[in-house]
Amino acid sequence: MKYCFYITALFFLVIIQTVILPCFSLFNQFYDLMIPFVIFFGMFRPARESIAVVICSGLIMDTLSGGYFGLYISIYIWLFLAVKWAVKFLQLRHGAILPLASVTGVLMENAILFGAITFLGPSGKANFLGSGTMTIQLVWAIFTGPFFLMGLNKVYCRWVRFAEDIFIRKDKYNR
Amino acid sequence: MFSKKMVVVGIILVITANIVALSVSSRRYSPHGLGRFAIFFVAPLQHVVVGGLKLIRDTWNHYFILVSVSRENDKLKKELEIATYQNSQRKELALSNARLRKLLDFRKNKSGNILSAEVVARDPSPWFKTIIIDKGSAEKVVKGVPVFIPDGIAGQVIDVSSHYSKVLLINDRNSSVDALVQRTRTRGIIQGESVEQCRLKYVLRKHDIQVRDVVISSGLDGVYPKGFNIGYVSGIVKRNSGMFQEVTVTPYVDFEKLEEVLVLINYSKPSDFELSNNK
Repeated sequence: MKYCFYITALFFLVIIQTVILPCFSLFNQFYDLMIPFVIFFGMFRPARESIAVVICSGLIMDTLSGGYFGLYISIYIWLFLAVKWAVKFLQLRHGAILPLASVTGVLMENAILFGAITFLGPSGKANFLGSGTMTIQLVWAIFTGPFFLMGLNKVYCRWVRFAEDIFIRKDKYNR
Repeated sequence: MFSKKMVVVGIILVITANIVALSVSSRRYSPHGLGRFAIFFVAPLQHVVVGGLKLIRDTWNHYFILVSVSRENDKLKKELEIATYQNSQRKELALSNARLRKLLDFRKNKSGNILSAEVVARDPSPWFKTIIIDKGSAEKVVKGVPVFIPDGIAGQVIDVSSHYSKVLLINDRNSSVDALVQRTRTRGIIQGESVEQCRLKYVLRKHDIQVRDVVISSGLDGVYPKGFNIGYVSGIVKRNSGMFQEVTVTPYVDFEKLEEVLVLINYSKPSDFELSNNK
């Protein structure tokens, strides 16, 4: 059931990002919605059940994006590892953690993309509009990232409780 | 278990391996089975959502915004009268053009079949510019075929699954189109920059290029047919030093509003011999 939630959430976020957000010009420079998704795994879920989903997210993004294959898989794995490492030292309940995590995620993704385009791209440089895009993404991340993270965690908890209820009822019925 | 030194060395090794792997994959875009597998699962969902959104938009446009339709209808009727007159003149021009072509023994343009496709998704990253369309190998779409709209060239297919294809737009950094300035026949390479504008590269300083000059495809890249509109020159910078001038081209295609595209299938590309002769 957990994996069912992860896959549903993954597809839901991919569709929002690739189909719904492009319909509104306001969200043209919106940040990658997989960032809060990966941060959610880094913060709230154990590594053994997260890593497959993180790789799967990267694979889907690599497929749908025009970037080099493996770019998003790399970004998400490094982001996931960074969050897992950081949560050892940070107080998760502190109010500033969620915006901070979202902003760090956006910065990290853009830094890797910028580096990849600059050093591996055909033209050899990423233009300055890239930094403008990043600033807008950071502003979006500060204000909406925490809601995505809290929302994901809340929906996940409800989903698990709902699944448990179903199984308990089924058990009772079987007895 | 591990000393600090070992952990640092391990991290450096992993980062190096990661950079090497990305460097290898960036050398050449090669479609892979895993990618097609993901498109196979994600694209139908995107198609359904796009369909739903289109239905809502159509309902809104057709039933709720009727106030200005009557006024628009009168305006369109007047425009139609002018267009009909212009059309009859164009027909006459086309006929005379055909006659003259025949006289000059012009070679027939090689053209393929045109397939219309719907855009079902856009690139999730603002750093790259690709779209997913709802036509794939089942509809005879193959890798490398040109995608366009009546306004101009949109891009080329870079990955194909059974019913969906990924299109690299001409404003992506990884895209290049061999182009000509229509007025002066000056050649250059249109390269995307992942923003609205593209660059026309390798144009020598001595060539006369002016703002608003139309840029068309030269047909020499073996992907896009000759004479397709690309965009117009929107900026020129001639520095004191350097061989080339910096030419900015604004594409005719509005990539943000791309909803339907045309795919040129069975397009017979010019052979290497023809290309080298043209060059």
